[in-house]
Amino acid sequence: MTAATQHTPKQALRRYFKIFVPSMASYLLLVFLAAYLIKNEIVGGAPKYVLAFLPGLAALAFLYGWFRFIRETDELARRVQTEASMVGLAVILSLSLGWGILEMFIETLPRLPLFYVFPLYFAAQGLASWRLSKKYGTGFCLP
Amino acid sequence: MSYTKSMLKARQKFTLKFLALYLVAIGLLLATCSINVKYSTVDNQSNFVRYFLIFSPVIPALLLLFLFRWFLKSTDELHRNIVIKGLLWGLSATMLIIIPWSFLEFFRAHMPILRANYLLQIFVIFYAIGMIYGHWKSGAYVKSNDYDPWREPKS
Repeated sequence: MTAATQHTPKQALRRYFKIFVPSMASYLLLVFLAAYLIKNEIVGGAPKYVLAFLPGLAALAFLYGWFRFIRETDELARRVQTEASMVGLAVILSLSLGWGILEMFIETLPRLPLFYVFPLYFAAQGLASWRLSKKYGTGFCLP
Repeated sequence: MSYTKSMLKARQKFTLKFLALYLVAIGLLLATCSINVKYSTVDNQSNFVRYFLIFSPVIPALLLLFLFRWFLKSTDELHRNIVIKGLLWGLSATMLIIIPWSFLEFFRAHMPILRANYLLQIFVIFYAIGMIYGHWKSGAYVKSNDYDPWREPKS
């Protein structure tokens, strides 16, 4: 992290949005495209697995932008993002652990599709980021 | 990275304290999960008990969260960066596995079921890999010959 070029928080935020907007747009597009093609059985066999992998790659591009932001920004914003990410992790890991164990023993309990875990993570992380930004007075929070 | 004797002693004390608290938190997490398993098999549970069981691992998980926060506050910049990198590695690798898998599962592409509780295991494995890689890459391990209790540190 020390080898990264230093930017002002504003510059780092601008660079983050340059990755965030296209990666989220392509994620949404790929999710709907893959859902349509797989559900209607238009694609099958190996291409189906490749297609399912593509939204994950778009999400990875978003994560790269976020990691880069953490690396390039100042110490305070880095602290806000780290703590927010830990809150998000605590929420999803404890919920998925609790629900998963109950799923094994209570057959009537509805299954938790893991597909929803990451939107839940980003919701928790976003809320924590907003709260921590207010607490530390950084002035902005990431979507 | 070289350590002086007093730095190394302080670091060892801190690591031991952190590990002790970490083991207590993990023990609590496992205990709540065991209680979860034991009582979830009981029939005719009220909804309150059922949802309390679902949310019960949140308490030790929050304890872990505060512990990590304390660790990040108390440790030096190098180790803080390694922990952050480990968390990010764990998160991205878990995401890269979970998203396509759950997507195929959701649309009934004959995938084996991946239960929600496997998420923690997958995350922990990749977090550990990230931590080992981070330590190795930054050279932040303590060599045993750096610390000799019978010799004064070099000035």
